[in-house]
Amino acid sequence: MKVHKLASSAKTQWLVFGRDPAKPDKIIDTNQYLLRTKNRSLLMDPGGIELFAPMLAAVLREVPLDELTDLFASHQDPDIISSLGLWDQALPNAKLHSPWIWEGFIRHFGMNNISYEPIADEGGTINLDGIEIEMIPAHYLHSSGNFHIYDPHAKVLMSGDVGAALESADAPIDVTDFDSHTHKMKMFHQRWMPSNRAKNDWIARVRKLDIDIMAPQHGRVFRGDDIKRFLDWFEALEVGIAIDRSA
Amino acid sequence: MPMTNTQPAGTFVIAAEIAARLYRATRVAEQLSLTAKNAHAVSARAGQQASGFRAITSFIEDLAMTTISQASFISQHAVEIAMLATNRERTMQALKHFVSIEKRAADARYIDSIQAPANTARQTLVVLEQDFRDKLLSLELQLEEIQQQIRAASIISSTSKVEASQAGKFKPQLDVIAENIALASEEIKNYLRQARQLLTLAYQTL
Repeated sequence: MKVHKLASSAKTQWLVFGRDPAKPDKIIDTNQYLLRTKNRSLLMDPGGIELFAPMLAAVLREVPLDELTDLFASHQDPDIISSLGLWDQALPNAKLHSPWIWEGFIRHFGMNNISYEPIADEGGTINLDGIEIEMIPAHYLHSSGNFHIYDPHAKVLMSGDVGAALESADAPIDVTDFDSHTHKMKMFHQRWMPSNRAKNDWIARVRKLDIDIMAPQHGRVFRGDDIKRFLDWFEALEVGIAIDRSA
Repeated sequence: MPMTNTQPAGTFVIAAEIAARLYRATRVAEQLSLTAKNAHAVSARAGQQASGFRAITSFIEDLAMTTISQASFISQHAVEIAMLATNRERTMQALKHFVSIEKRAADARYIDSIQAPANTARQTLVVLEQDFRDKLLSLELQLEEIQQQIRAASIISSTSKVEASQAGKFKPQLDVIAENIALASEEIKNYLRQARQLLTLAYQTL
């Protein structure tokens, strides 16, 4: 499991974990993000059960376990949080922030110790060492209860499946050529995102945020002007398409 | 028994298999109860000719009812053991990961912090193991009790065959009933025997 420093501010630091060379071939590559404040850390979309051991080993290179106080699951999918039953034994005092509608479902992954902190549909904040981190609604992108994390200090948006691309596990971390990158994103967004209305609602919300880095759960990270390019591209893209009958 | 694969089954699978055998024994006991009710009706119609048979129908019914209630209780107990075994398996998996991380990330800056969850997992395992042994022993005693009870069914089955032979024109009907009693008790005995064998396997996984 590789780790890269993504961003930092006076109050927060961001790390991205992923591109695990030992990952089994048939499971989708995922990016896991860790946000650190002075004494606490938030691990976002910690990943599937297959990734638990390399992920925990990589985390221990960066933070002690007692500082890993919070987990965030943007939605209920197995690549997001099926490792929960094992994190539950590693972090018995941690909190899991996740959409309220998925509590009864996510608990099926096994959760006896960690406490579930349901996120209301309108979103909310996580307070880490007095620093407010925002949970931005992203419902139906792609899950019917879905959130992203926005850090206004480092100006990073962890955008879950929005901005995701399907590509090889050794792909670079950053988007270097936006136009060619769209080919790797198109099918994913058309197929996994079910609603144009939800998409446009999210775009309007995100355009109001001050973002330097947009960090999806799969694929590459967008920086600077590529974020606006992505929002324009996404706005123009028709989603909710499984079988294109016009083709 | 279907567990013929070369991989040893996990204890949680064995416990679930035991619960399934007992559930099947319960279903057969329910059929036995219906047979007893039928025997009661036939022997009532037969009057004096089947007075001997009528006397044993209430024993059969009692036996069936006790078997249903005991087997259901033990089956539920076996499900609890399966849940306990699943918990144990999950804790063992977590501990396995913690131990492997201790080795693969020995140079990690904060590797020492894995000790706390690893120790908690070890302590939890000790408690789960003891609880598991206690529950297996209790299951064994319950199975022994129900097996002794079902042995009485064989005697009733033989007696019912003798009584059926003396029931005049009702003999063919009572013969069928006596045969059904024999088959049901044999089937229940088989399931209980399989449950005992599985229990022995469960002990071997410890």
